[in-house]
Amino acid sequence: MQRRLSTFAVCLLAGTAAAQGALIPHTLADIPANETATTTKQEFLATRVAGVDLSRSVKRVVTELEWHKRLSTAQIEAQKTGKPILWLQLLGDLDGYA
Amino acid sequence: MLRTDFVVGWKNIRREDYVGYSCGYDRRQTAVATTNGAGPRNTQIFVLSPDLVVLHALPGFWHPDDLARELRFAKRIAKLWEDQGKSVETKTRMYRRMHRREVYTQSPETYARSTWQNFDAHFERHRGQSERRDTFLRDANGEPVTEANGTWRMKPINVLVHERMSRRPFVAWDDFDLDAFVDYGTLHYDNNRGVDRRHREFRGQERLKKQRERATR
Repeated sequence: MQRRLSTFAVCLLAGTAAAQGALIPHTLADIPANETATTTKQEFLATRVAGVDLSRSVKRVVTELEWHKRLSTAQIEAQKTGKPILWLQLLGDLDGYA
Repeated sequence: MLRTDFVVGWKNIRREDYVGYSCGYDRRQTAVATTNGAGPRNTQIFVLSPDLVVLHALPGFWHPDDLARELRFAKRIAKLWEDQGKSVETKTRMYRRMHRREVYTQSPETYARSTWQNFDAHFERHRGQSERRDTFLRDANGEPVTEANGTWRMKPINVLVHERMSRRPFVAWDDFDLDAFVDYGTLHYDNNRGVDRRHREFRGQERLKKQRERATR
């Protein structure tokens, strides 16, 4: 019963949030969190890539994919293949130079 | 997935009006990790249909696992857009539902990686004092939810991005309001500063930043 009531409360809250303009009502109670997730995040944020590892990673991205530099040419290929376009916009160059 | 399922392209946006501000680095300097959606004005990832409709967009940097999930999501949106048997109204309804479902099924890890950078949150809270922002969690009365220390609780970036995209169903590339879409946090973003202690200033970007600051005063 208690669980049913709390589910009802969340729905009510979500409905009210939607009425206030949030198309995806999301309340504090809905945000999933756990300690493992936080630890994993902290470990990831400590990541540093430099030297040979960095060169290899950059080389893979730049050479193993056929990057278009114009949206018009990417569109022609997309129309031929039926694939969607992944279009990346960067302050700087694809190889990391900014 | 990038090689097999997408046509890929890129553009340097250094001269665009919506671009943010950073410092310059060369190719050999250390790459650092950051949170999802950090640096929204300096990096954007779009998924476009062959007829140049924006299917999905991600501002800033994204963790590889989260990026892969978002790209799988974008592929489902692409299928929906291609479906000849559904009206645009039906597709739009389904599109919004898909965004909502996506937000509710993302993992605790994705949520943990989608927290705000302190400086961006600080800037947003400051803006929130003078204008209505969609970047805060709000209670049933529309009032911002507060943290234990009394500051307003930020909406996780993954939620913010899906919410903003759900308001932009199947928008043509030329009509996509990029300025508004990437408008959160500070204009300046530079996580490398202090790692290598080598960078150069973008004088042009600095001038642009000052002009914008003057214009918004």
